Amino acid sequence: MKRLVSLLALFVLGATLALADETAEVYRRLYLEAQGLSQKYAAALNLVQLQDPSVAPILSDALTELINTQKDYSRPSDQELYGRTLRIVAQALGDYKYIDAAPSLWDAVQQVPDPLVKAEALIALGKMRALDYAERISLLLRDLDFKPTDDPDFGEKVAYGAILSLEKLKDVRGFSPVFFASVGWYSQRVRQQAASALPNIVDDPTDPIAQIIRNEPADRKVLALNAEINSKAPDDHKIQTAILALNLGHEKVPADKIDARTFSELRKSALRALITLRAQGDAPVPGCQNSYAKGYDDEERLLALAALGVNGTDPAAGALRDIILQLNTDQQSGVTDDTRNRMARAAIENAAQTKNKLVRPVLMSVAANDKWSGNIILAAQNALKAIP
Amino acid sequence: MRRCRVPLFALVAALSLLASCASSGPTAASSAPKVRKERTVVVKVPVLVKESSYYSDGMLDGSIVYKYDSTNKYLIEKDTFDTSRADPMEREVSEWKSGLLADDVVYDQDGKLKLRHDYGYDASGRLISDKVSDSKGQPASSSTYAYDSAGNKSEWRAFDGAGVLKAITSYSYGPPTASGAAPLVLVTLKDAAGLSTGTIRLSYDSVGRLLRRDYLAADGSTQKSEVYIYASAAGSPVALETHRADGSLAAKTAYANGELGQVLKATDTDGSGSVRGFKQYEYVVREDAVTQVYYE
Repeated sequence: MKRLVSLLALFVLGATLALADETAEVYRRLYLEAQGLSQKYAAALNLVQLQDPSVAPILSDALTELINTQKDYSRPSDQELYGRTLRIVAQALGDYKYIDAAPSLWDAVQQVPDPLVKAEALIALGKMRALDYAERISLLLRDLDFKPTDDPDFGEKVAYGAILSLEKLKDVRGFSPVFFASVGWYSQRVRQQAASALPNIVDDPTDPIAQIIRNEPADRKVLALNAEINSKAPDDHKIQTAILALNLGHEKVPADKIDARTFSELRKSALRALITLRAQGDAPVPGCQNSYAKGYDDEERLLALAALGVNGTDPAAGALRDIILQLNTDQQSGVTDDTRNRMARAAIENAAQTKNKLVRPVLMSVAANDKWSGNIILAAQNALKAIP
Repeated sequence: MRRCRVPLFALVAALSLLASCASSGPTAASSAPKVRKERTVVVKVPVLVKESSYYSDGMLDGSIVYKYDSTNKYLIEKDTFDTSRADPMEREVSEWKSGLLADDVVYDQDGKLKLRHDYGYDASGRLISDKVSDSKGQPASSSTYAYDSAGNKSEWRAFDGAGVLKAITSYSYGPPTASGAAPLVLVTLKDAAGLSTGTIRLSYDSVGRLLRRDYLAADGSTQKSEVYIYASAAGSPVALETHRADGSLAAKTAYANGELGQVLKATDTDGSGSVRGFKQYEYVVREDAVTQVYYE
């Protein structure tokens, strides 16, 4: 009985495996014999729906042949079906990751006017990770990003395909054009697609983002910095980018009030990143000092103090010491207001965060200055306890 | 007919069912008269619920999620996902009537019709027709199937969208094996006029496992071959090799199988041995109560 059942099982195995493949063979032959576009379409549809990678070579040949005979299908009545045929073939080749078809797919991108065909061919190139075409697809999207095409719908469709393609290719060259697509002239759907694709293109986009922060207007700098912060780049790269943004945010002269507010957003984003990432060392300190001294608003100044606090190194502690010293001197000379009090308290609390002995003397001075309110004196006393 | 609805599922489910019977079956009886008996056994059936496709470097490309009815027997929806989007890129919805697949409808990511199959059956529940419509709802092609007196599929006729016969495929079977079933040994491909355009020969090992499938042109020359590799004297194949006409290796798929015989991983390599990608399969296990007949 066991043997019988075993044989049964093996037969089922054989029959199941044997069932399918004449189907692919029959449809393969039907495609080869197909005359006219409608027959080719029907045969291609049959081949594609088999979901059988073994038919990829015939689909690749079909794609090449269809592109080469494009002029035969120039009648309006043919064009829709021609496009549909190319699209299903291109999609299948992408699904099968049939890299040998990449040259023909790129030919489709370049030679077939139908934007949906171009988009499908681009997506297929991405799905098969045809990295040889990453540069070309990046340039294609970059050119589209510059300005709306004569027929915006055409540009939207091709851009959408290029974005999906570059997302799949995961090549750093694709980052910038997809970034610019995310802030470009396209419809919300395309822009959102680009924005969601960005984190998937490359884990560490530091280099292209640094270029964008250096060269683009303030609003794009902010978006680029946020993209870096939300990326999977190593923390030290994110810190490096935040410092770059912070410093450029101080160097650039705003053209107007809106620009000034945007630059302050850039600096605040950079400072928040420095705080979150607990950035240490000398490099962030000048930017923080500038933000405290020339900050757009109190929020920026408080963020600068916090960034110095988490930094904790001698340069950062020295900067906090100088700030507290100045505030203490002003207080002693009778210069006082709510803002100064708020800054003094924040500076003292962040000085405690540093746990750096450099700030002890100035904290002792504050604690001994009875012109400060009790809250400030108490904060200074607590800070002194926190510092070894 | 579509190549396979859920090929792995169907395969492993059948194997699991039978293997389970084998494991719980009675041993050979003595010389006393045998009496037909029945008993109910519970068999474990792996049901494919997710298929994930990866690039060779391990990066996820996409996945397919299979949804079943409440009994986990009938596939009612197959959703294809891309890694970057939460919504499916493609949905295939199946409708069942009286336990038979009535139609399959494929929609694109915008919910627009891509493809539709309508299936027809004879009184015995055997598939006799499959009509395919395109995204415009226009007939794209159709197929009809005939069966011999033993219930084996004997012929498949393929028609174009206009109903013109395009190809005839005949099936020949070998002598019945110990199981009583006759193995498919020859598939003859013919054009509409009935002239042979090629054949597919299937050969089996001594225990009835499919060993190879040779594709021959009309003149008898080999076009390609598919060879199944087994690791042991029983069980599922561990690899499928595709060879070109000159015998050189064109591609290979290696399988890793689970305890219930289900394929857990399939790795595709090209002719040079470079990995082109792999798929991983996830299952839930359904428990079926099956009436087992035995004699003792």
